[in-house]
Amino acid sequence: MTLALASIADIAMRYRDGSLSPVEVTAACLERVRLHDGALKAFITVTDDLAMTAARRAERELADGLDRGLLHGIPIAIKDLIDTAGIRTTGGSEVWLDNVPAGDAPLWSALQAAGAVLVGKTNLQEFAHGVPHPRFGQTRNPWDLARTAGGSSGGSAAAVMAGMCFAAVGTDTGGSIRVPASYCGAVGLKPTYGAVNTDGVFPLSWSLDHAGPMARTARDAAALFAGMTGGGYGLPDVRLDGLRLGVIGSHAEGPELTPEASASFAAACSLLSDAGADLVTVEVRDLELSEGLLPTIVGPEAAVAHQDWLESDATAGYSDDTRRQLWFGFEVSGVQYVRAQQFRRHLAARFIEALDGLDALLSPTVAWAAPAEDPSIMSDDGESEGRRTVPYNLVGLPALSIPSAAGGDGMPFGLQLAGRPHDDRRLLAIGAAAQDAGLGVTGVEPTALISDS
Amino acid sequence: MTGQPSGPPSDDPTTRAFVAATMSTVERIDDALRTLHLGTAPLPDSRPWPADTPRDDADDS
Repeated sequence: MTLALASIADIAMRYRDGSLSPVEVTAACLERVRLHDGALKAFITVTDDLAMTAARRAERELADGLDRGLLHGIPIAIKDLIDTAGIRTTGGSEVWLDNVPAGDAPLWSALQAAGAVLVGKTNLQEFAHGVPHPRFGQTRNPWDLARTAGGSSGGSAAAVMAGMCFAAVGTDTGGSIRVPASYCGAVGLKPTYGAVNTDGVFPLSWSLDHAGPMARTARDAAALFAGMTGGGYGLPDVRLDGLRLGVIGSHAEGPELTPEASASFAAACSLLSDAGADLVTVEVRDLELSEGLLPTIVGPEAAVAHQDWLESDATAGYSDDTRRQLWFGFEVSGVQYVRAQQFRRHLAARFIEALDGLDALLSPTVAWAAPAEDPSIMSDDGESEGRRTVPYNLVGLPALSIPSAAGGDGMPFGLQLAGRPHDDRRLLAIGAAAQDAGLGVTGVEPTALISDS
Repeated sequence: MTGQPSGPPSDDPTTRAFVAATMSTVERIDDALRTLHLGTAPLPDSRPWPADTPRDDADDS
């Protein structure tokens, strides 16, 4: 297996037995960036020199007996709307082209304290809301360069799967971690609302924004989650045998679900069942009312966040489609916004009811494989794309996407697991157990990169 | 700007069309939510003071 596609635990072990060094591994990741990022467009800024300096520091500290834990000396990436002091942070927009934050987002401070090495800032749809800005282009899918990596954390997903880093931070307001994870064959966790501090993350929607980890395996995602939150690296002991999992009936079907996505989900359910999990079909009352609701909340919140720029000369820095989406937000009435906020609590209670007696809920993450271009979140296709992910932003429950069986053309699909508030590490443990049981494929070079090499 | 509502530029027909189409979805969803009669149901927790504000309700007897 290529060094850059190994697991964080394997690399960490080899740092400690002296067979590998942070400088070697960081250099290998940067070489992968040089080799593949021209085609993928996963990064907006590559921090070569800073990464090598941090890697040398980690190497020195480990040699001196200062061990910061699993992430020490591990190359990671961060979505480019999260503050990193002294490192340009563009939000994927010309509005912020020269923005260099003075301070660090707390999640990045925590990762630095854990010894992580930043290789760069990843590409995204403009301010995690609009379309890819033409200046930066759309991140391409590592399994098929003719397709999108997904949005809006597509750069983080592609960077992870291309072996340019071992894990990456994404953000998720309606599926922006889980959708690109599904499209690229990555693992992505939208944590419980508030579990990761989003200070220093440029807001799309204060009510619905989450920051979370993306990686090639659930265990690697768990390592980054622990580093972001300052929590422990261990996971709860979970066995698939005896788990009670609820398949959300209305999300296991639907006219938008492609036969291949349906087959991948059915195969994942069979694997879990064969491993001893008890699968039952459940419904979440009033879940259908969440469909299409996202713009009612995101619209006005994003409009407020961007108003000063929209009404100044800075407005020229937005792409036309993003600017249109932002203007829309001023039209939503206060009554419509408040009713949507009320519904969030109502729906959360319905999810808690559905979880009674269950360990997690299951559904496909997205109804289809990666398309050529990302649909706008305010289009019919965007509504369908987020049909299974948006509800967990509304109710704040943790939701994890892990890769399930690929389709006949090799394109990945995602299986979504969701749990109760603060079940983040438990979901990651279930995901790790499912991957141990053979769900999805890990450690494999994405096909588009083989032909790109 | 006093008294002038914020909103999309009226001279951009593409923006006006996009806003109109998206607002029709918002209105459809809002009509559906009204059937729940949420009335006085509380909003999600959004206390306006900083999360790290210390409590001053310790037993001081």
